[in-house]
Amino acid sequence: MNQMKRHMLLAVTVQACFLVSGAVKAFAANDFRSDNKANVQASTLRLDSMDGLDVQGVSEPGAEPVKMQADVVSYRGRRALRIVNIEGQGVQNGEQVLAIVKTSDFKDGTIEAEVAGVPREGAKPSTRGFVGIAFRIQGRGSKYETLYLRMTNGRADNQLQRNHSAQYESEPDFSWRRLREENPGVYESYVDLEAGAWTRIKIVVAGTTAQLYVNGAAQPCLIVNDLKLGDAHGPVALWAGSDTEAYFSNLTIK
Amino acid sequence: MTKARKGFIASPLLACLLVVSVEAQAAPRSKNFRAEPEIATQALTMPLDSMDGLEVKNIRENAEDLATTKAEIASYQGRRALRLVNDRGLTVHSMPAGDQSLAIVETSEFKDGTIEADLAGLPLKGSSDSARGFVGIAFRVRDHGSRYEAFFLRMTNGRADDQLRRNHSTQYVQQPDFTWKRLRDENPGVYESYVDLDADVWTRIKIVVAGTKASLYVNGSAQPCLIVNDLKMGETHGQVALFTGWDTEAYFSNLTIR
Repeated sequence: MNQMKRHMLLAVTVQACFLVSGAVKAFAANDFRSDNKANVQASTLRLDSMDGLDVQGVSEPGAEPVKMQADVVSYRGRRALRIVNIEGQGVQNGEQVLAIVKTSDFKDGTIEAEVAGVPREGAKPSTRGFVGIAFRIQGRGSKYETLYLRMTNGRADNQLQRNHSAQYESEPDFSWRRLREENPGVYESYVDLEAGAWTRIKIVVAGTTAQLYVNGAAQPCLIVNDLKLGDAHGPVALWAGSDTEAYFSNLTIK
Repeated sequence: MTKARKGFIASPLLACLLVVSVEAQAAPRSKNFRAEPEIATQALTMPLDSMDGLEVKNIRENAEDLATTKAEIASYQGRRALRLVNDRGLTVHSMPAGDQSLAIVETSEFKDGTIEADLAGLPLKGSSDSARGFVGIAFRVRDHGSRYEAFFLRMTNGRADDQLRRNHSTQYVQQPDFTWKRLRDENPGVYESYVDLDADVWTRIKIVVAGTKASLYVNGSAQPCLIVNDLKMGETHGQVALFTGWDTEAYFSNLTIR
């Protein structure tokens, strides 16, 4: 019974997303690529409504299309954007969901947001609650940079898991797996995280470098000196990884 | 110049030997440790503004010649503190792993509990590019340093412009069997982690040990930045020591054991 209801709910939300994304498609793809000297457009979004967001499922090669639900709900004292990413069965690489801020165009600058995340109910044990921010998005999500957190890793009883609390990746070419295999410990790091709690993240981008700051720390917990898309620009998005229930609030871009 | 350097090195070495010979007479105590199964941690507070009660030892790792360590009380950032200068010497700079030195707190006895200290550390002037300022705390030290567990910091890694180096800011080792190199080769990312460090300021560290588990806390953080669930010496006990790695100028202050 419950299962059926759930499926119906999903179907409806996914359809709604397609409607929204269809309308924006042509505009976004043209606009952001043809302008080489894009400036960062300062903006603040409380994320207490879905207005201006284009929700996209991004499947890694070989994966089934991602199932997702995006809505605005009350979470820990505030109205916030919720993204639930439901991973299909037998999928190796996992899938990601972007809620692209349609009017944003970001090259260099600072992105801040409050995020929270837990593995979704019924998720596989290997799920961590993957929540982050994607930036310099190209072609409505076909390419982008992202810095994200593995929320249940921060206080795991296993140091290796802790050391994978923060992650950089560049889709579709540099998945976390490829980066870790080729350069372990270079695009990931430890930071204290409390799963489910509102967590402040700040991303500072300049040229081909990016730094991730968590919970108001004066120093970045993760630095990347060779952003894989080069010196690109494009929209900003809220990002949720596979089998994750993610919340987002108070996004600022400057 | 070289002669002056040798003389400078020889005198503290002599001092160390003296301390060692005194310690040799206390050998029956180490027998006692083994026979006595109910050893408990003894609470202790030392400001480390004097050398009293410290036994300074150089511990050979892979290097050909033993490092020399100068131990003295000096002023650093507004307080009198223990200074350990670990000088690996000129001949072995190309070695992959270097010597360590310990200032063992002679009267300490530690099994489970909490060790706290303020420390600071810099690469020795003129040392190779791979020196990091290695400073830490050794615990459950046996037989004048022949075996011990240690947590240490690589002080100049904390804000390096290279994430891999940052991720090696903290380190667990067990001498002589589990060097950082062996641990990293066999289990990369398991006995090391990132924590923010400012090389040239006092850094507060706290080590909590229980059975075969130990956690390292830095600068008053509520959560440990490094946890070890399989201390390599097992559930043992021994002394506590201030620790430096090779080519490091290190400072220590306000040691508490409880």
